[in-house]
Amino acid sequence: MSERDALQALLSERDLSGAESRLRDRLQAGASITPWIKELPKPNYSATHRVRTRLRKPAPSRAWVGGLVLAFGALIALGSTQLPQDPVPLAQPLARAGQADITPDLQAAWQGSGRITGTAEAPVVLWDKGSLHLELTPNQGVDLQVRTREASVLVLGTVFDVDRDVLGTTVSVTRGSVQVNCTQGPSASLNAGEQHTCLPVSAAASASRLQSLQNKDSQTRRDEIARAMTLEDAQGAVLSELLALRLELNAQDQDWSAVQLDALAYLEIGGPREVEIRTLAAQLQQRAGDCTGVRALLSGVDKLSDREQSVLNTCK
Amino acid sequence: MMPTDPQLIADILAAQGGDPSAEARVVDVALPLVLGWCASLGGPTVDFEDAAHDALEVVLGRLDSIQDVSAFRSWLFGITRRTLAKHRRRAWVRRWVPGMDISHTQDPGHSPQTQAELSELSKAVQKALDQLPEPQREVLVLCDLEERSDSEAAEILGVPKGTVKSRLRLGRKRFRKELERRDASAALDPISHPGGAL
Repeated sequence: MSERDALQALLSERDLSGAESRLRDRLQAGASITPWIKELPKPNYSATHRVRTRLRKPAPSRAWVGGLVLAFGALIALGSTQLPQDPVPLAQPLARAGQADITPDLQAAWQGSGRITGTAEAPVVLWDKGSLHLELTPNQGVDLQVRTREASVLVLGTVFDVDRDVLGTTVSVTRGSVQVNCTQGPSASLNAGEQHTCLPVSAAASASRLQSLQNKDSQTRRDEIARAMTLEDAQGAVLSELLALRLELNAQDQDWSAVQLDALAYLEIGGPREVEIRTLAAQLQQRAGDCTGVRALLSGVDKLSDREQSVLNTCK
Repeated sequence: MMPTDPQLIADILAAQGGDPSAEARVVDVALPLVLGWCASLGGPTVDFEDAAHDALEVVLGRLDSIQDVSAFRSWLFGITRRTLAKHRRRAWVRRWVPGMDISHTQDPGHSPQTQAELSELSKAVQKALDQLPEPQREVLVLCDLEERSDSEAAEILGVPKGTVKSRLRLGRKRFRKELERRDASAALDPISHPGGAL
């Protein structure tokens, strides 16, 4: 009888206290630990079947396509009128806060606004702002998509959240997996426990996002600014705000030549921080001993601040 | 060395080429391995079916990215290990969600009483194993539970054979110590009092 069988036999005894003491003796006698390890849970057939059922179904073989085409052709040839019914269209607004069974296989809870379109077989959630929680029963053939301005989320059977705020669109997966395709920036395939943020698609929204990223490291913010500057609406007041944000970063890093370049670019465009930035630029010119530059900056200004006047005086 | 089955290699390559039946065969090989690892390494707080499901989703999603097909089991183990780590981090949530009892060890071959005892013993062993550092836990499961050779375990874990041996020695010693420590503090109570903590 093997060690494991012996232990099983002991455990099967009705006199549990006797079994317990003999087990303890066995352990203390320095016997192998292998029988104990063998007591770890082992998945049985049911567990294997459950996991297999939950797994996404492999794509159908192309061999079926020909068969389907033939079958469809046969239906047409027979003049059958028993074609599948048209899919049921969905049109449901999602406003303020609430929860609902969108279809028997799709439950939603939300706080914000959006709407549901598409069909029961292929629902499409257009999400505008706020938090959206979705639960989709797996393997029911439902092709769910969630779209925001920044992201398109393709969903397998899963439980997940979509949050749209000033930072962009963040998708968090609780169970299952989703594919997130971002309009801007990298896309991602997410599994349970993972999340991904799709960045804003406009420079103005990116500038707002940057204001919320004050505690992030310099390089992250710098990358975000560089990305925002390439966006279509990065011009005028939005561009000058991005320049001002970059100037702040350069000042924090004490990269004064970069600060000076950003300041001059900002002054070229103009913006609400003009006086503050002009003063800074003048001080930097003065520190570099460039009085010509200082005068060029300040000479045409109607009303100089005290500090600007002081900088100008040093160059007289 | 534990060479990967040539048929499995062929199936992986075919699955990478988009053959769904080959992908299904790869799942047939991967599923029992992943499920077994999740059950034995997950610990008492992880729902091993959930973890196995998530690991296999990753496997299917990344099948295209395997560089060295012959190291499939090692790649699979790495994914399982990372998925389990994520599930352990999230395990605390389960304590607050009613009805999420983790009991997948039902064996219809035993009477309910024996099943309860075995289940308690199983949980007790899980808890003891869970006290071990992860590297030691892994070699104990691969070598003592799955009865793999040192070389096989080394290949799966991607470490030298000597490392496997030393981890195994330390792991066995520590596991025994954990069992003895628990025994000394009336650790085997759950056997005579099902439902008690080890």
